[in-house]
Amino acid sequence: MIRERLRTHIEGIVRPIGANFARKDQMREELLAGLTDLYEAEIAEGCSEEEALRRALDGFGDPDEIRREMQATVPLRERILFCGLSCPNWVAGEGWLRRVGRSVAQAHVRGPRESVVRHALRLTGGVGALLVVCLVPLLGITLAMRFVKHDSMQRFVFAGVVAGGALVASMLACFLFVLIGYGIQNELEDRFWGRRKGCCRLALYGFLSSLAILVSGLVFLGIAWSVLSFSREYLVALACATVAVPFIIWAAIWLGLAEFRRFGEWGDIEEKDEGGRMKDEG
Amino acid sequence: MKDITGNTLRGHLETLVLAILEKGEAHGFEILRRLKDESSGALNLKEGSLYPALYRLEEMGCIAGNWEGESEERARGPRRRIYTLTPKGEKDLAQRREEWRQFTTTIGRIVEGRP
Repeated sequence: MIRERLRTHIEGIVRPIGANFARKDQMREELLAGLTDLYEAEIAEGCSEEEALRRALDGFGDPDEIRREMQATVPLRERILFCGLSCPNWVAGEGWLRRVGRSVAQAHVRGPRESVVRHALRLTGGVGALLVVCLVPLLGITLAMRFVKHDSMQRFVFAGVVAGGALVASMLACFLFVLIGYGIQNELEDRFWGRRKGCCRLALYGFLSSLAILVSGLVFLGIAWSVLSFSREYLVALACATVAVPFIIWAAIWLGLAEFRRFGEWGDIEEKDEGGRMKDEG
Repeated sequence: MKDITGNTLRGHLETLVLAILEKGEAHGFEILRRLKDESSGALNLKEGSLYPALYRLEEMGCIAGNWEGESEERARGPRRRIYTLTPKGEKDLAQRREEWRQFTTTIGRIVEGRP
């Protein structure tokens, strides 16, 4: 239990740092080794476990300050490259978001008595609902723009609004895919733990990547079709977003899943009670 | 003697770490312990503040870190990283020593009112 709390403390420091996986793993292991040494030294001096833990955490220093200093040691190019990871980091740090994620993920997993056909139909319905969520605001903006007279300045503004809206919708889709993927991955690994683990993961990446590209492709195709009569600037902005967003989504899913997998290995940053339940779950 | 904390040491921590590693390789906790021993307990550093300094020195090529081997590895728990001074670190330490001498001579002359 104490070891778990030491690990939780270190995870709380390292998780939000923007750096590559290898660097963060090194930080995790080294900081945990240092904190463990500190704890063991306190125990050797005759402290009780709780007192030793309190003194070790105090002697280790302020987590926020350590995190800031550790972040400053990461080269700038790496910080920029891995800034996308702050999204899953943020998700993982928010208890309510993770509960939503778990619920979303569980809704996409086949029930013990559910037939494959029913499950497939339910999944299709889920993806359809996701498409509607993404499409409705964008089509709303597009339709609203048809009623506005536009000069050259307004065309730029419209192009920006639609490209921005498309990006937000795609990020929403990406966010949901990451959460769903996390849940599905856990479920698959629980059921097929062992030999098939690697195959499941590979299949899952393939499935999610294809789905993400398909959905975003459909979204942008729909918008492009409905606004073909608009200006050249508008279409250029749309084309750029169409090309860029599937790649962004794919990368975010891949990175998100990889990061989540490490969270699994390193445990939660939330405190757990004696029964192993999250404190915020009551 | 009054404790010397992290803020007072800011800017000198790297030099202290290099000086400690000159006497032999060490991991983070060991460096901290040696610092405390050699200052007769006056250097009261938070262990967490040591690692960023180690990473900075490693990035500069002044020290090299290696994970402890299987034989030294504790039966359970995380591995430590053992740091050694590199040839570049030795040169850097010599330069820092020279700068330190100049600094203490100049500042000491003013603060202590020496001619």
